[in-house]
Amino acid sequence: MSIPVNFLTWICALLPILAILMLMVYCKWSASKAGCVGWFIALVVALLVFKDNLNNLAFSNARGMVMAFYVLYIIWGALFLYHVVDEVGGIESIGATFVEMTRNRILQLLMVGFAFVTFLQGVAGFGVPVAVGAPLLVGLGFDPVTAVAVPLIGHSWSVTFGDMASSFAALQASTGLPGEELAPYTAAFTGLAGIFCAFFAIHCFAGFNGIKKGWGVALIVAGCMSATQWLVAQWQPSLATFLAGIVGMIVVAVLTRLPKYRKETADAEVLDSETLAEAAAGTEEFKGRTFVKKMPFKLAFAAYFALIIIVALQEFVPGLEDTMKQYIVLKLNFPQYQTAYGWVTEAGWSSKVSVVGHVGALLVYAGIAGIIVYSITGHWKPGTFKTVIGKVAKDGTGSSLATTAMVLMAFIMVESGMTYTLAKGISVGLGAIYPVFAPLVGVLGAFMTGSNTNSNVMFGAFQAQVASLLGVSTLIMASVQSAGGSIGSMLAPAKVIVGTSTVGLTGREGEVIGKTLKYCLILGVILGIIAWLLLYVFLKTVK
Amino acid sequence: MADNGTKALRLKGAALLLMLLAPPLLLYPGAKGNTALEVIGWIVLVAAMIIPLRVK
Repeated sequence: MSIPVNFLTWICALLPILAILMLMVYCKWSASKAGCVGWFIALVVALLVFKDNLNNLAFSNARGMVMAFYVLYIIWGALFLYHVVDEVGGIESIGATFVEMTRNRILQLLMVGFAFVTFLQGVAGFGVPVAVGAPLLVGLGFDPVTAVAVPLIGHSWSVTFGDMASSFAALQASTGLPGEELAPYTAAFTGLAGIFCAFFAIHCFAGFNGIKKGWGVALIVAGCMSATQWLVAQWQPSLATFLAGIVGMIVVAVLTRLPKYRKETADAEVLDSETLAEAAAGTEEFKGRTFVKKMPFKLAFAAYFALIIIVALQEFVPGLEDTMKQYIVLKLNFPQYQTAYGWVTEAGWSSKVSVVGHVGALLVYAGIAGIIVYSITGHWKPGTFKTVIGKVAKDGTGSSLATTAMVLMAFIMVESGMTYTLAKGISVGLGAIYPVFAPLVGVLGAFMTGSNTNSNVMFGAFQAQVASLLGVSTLIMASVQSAGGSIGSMLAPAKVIVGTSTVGLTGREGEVIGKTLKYCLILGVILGIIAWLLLYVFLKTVK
Repeated sequence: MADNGTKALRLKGAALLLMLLAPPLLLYPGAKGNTALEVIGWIVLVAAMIIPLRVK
């Protein structure tokens, strides 16, 4: 007996995802609440429609929990490191340094709204790039709506490998594809999206006139960053966005030294900065945040330097990584189990999480190193640690609940055959044309959940199964899913709200989404067409 | 007395802990043969999923 794939079972399999979409978009529920409801629905549908049993579902939840812990460890570690630096004024100091560098509007935009927000995505994520980037741009005199839209566009390409590659880890875990084979394709798609995002950010600010004047620098900056991400992703995915952001900032800093960009030059033709500054200051709700350099750049960056050193040590000191990863390892062994429809989940180990050697642990070590440095230099005050922990808990709990509920839901869907049913229905319905729409599925997931990680958890296995059913590369299909989920971040209401609230534009989210929507859809279709060409013309032999 | 924000954070934290602990500690060994453990596991996990729905 096999799973009957028909309209009824297909709609039932879609119900958990549909419920999350409706609850988040129409009922304005948080992702954590909607995720829990999605989990309940998946559980009931698996039992009643897909003839699963509680014993199998218990295993699915246990397997899902290990994967959730793998992703959450990175999220909490990244939040800890970010708040350690932010609490001593480090993030503000790094931003203020860039503001001082150049008066050229295009370079300011690329530095703050593209390179710096990419770096922030590399270390924190969760809307931090928008929360920090938008006020900085308003402070520089950019129109507030543009100041929110630009960081949304500028950071979106880097989300998959950002936040220490938690979204990429989720993609690996949900698809079961090996990271070393997946990374080159995923980084190629997101890197390509990065080049488009640089141009879109400039277009959003100054239209085609801006692109005409800034296409050269945009291409150099975005090209260097995309190439860095692609290269690093194959060595250490968790550092790919982080290092791409650093390279981007260095490249812009070098460009600001060139005589052509030292003065304000063509900017006055592109825009009238005084008018924009007045527009920004004139926004009634804007609270007028100023950025003060509280410490030298090198000191502000100390915790991130520590992170680079720690990761390099783990990577290059022979045997260190293996030694670290053998202590306190969380992993579970599962027997083979199957539903009454005969849908089999093979026996084997769950994901493995080493409490001492995991990427999340490295982030915590870097945070501790940062605390030591800031204590020695007198920036770390008594009581700061408690504040940091409080902020980490406040920021991390909601997103962790959402991620956990959705991971458990995704595992129920995969192991009961619901994901297979969805994939089978789509592959039969759209056939070979489907890959063109594949990135838009990723965009939808990110829009619904506000997270590339959750999008990958929800749709990663689905996309891989569609690829298998169509007889095309699962690596390319999974990669394009993640690239779609990544660029979908520029539309996610959760992130847009973070941006608008920091510049006093609360309630004007529609204007921001109106600006980013066209870029996201255009880019989604471009990536889909490229994916189709790779799958059916150029890379037919890739597995 | 804790304000609403702190109370919500504590409830969410408790829900998260239960979501993470119930599957490996109760459901996994329970699913390997101990029915009572599995029943407790399901009760704890369902309760963990209900808590966020009740938090404002």
